[in-house]
Amino acid sequence: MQGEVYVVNSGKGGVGKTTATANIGSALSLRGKRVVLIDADIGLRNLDVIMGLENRIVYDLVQVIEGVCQVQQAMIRDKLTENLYVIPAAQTRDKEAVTAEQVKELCDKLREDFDYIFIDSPAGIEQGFKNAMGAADKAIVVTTPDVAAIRDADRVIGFIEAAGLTKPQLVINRVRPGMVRRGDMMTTEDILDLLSVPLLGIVPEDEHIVVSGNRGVPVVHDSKSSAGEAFRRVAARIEGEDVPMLKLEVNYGIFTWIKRMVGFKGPVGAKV
Amino acid sequence: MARKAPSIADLREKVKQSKALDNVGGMVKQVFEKKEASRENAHSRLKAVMLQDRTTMTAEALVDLRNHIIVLLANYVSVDRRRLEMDIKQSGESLVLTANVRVDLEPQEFNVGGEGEFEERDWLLSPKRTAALRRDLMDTVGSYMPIYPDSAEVREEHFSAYVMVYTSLRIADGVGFDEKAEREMAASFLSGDF
Repeated sequence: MQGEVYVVNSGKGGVGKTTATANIGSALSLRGKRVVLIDADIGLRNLDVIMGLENRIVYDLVQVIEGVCQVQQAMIRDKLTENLYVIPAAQTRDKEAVTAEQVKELCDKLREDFDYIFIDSPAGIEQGFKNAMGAADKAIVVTTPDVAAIRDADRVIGFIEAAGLTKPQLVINRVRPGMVRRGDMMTTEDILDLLSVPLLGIVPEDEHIVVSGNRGVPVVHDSKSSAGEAFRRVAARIEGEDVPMLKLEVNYGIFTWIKRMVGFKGPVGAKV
Repeated sequence: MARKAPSIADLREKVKQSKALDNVGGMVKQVFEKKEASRENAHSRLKAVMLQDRTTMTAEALVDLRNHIIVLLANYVSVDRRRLEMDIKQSGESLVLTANVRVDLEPQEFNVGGEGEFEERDWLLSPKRTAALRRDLMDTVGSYMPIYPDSAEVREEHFSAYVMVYTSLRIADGVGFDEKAEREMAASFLSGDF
């Protein structure tokens, strides 16, 4: 077995990078793949909380690299899916605690036992980002449809391409179909025109994401969630399947229309 | 006969009526008025700012470069300056500058076969002029940024009512980050230049 190493980047923080890592990894695991997720955001770990595994941490990434423990000892098995493991980041160290070569060496070791290794990169373009990028074969860039996130995504894409990785694939997160329809949010075409990278997935804004984060259960386990469905499709595309993008529709009922007419702007969701 | 001054109750009633009319007016406005789409604004602002990010050039220098390219192309083809699309994108390990222009044809030059279908038509640029344009592009763009030697490309694509002239060059120094350029970009936004 020779697994593939993906790095998940964004540039700007808070766009849903960790959520995307957790969900894509879980979705691939649900498809029967052996997956390990590495939290490379040293000092600011969150992947464990999103996955609901925060109480099971014994060792972390830095301890593995420093030889304090074996990699198998630091790998936490997911509570919901078989063949999914998480290596948490150290919470009390800084990003200089590991080097790009050490992360690469670890990933090369993991390739032998896993189909996919996902590295959840820290935001920004500093050492943590370089460590994560240095070990990867492919990159996924997550952005939201706002100017700051897209600009930062462009910086990251430039670095990834200059580093000689294959063209990164884009996940557009938190798309609000109602705003797109009103012309108040950039369309997928606008974003692709700016960033010039292939599209891996479009994930709608979905309240289920917040609930899943609260519960520590990735949203791909929720069959009613549109975001969960979008992440399942992303996983299928990673597996090489030709899956259509999730169709985002605004549910305009008569009451929604009346509410809008009198000035009430409630949340607009997406339906699958 | 002196007019009777309106009572407080009358005035209150009038205010109430005008507020009701405002509400109705607001609703009608909401239905029929088309607001400017903010996404277009975001898209054009980002396009400008990302050009600067990719080259570390100032907004002023980019506008200057664009104007120079327009003047240069005007020596070869009929250019509508609004129709010049300039972009800089990462391609592999280097940046590529593209400057594409649409040249509208005179009606007598149109093809009758419809969009995408046309009869044989002469090239706008002969091989000799294409080579000259390549050289001029290298000189012009090279005075703004380091470029790879002989990287200029020029090609044209013919449509029924217009011709697209595509030009590109490879920039030599890759991606960089320049705080000065960032500050100047912010200043240009504030002054509304972009």
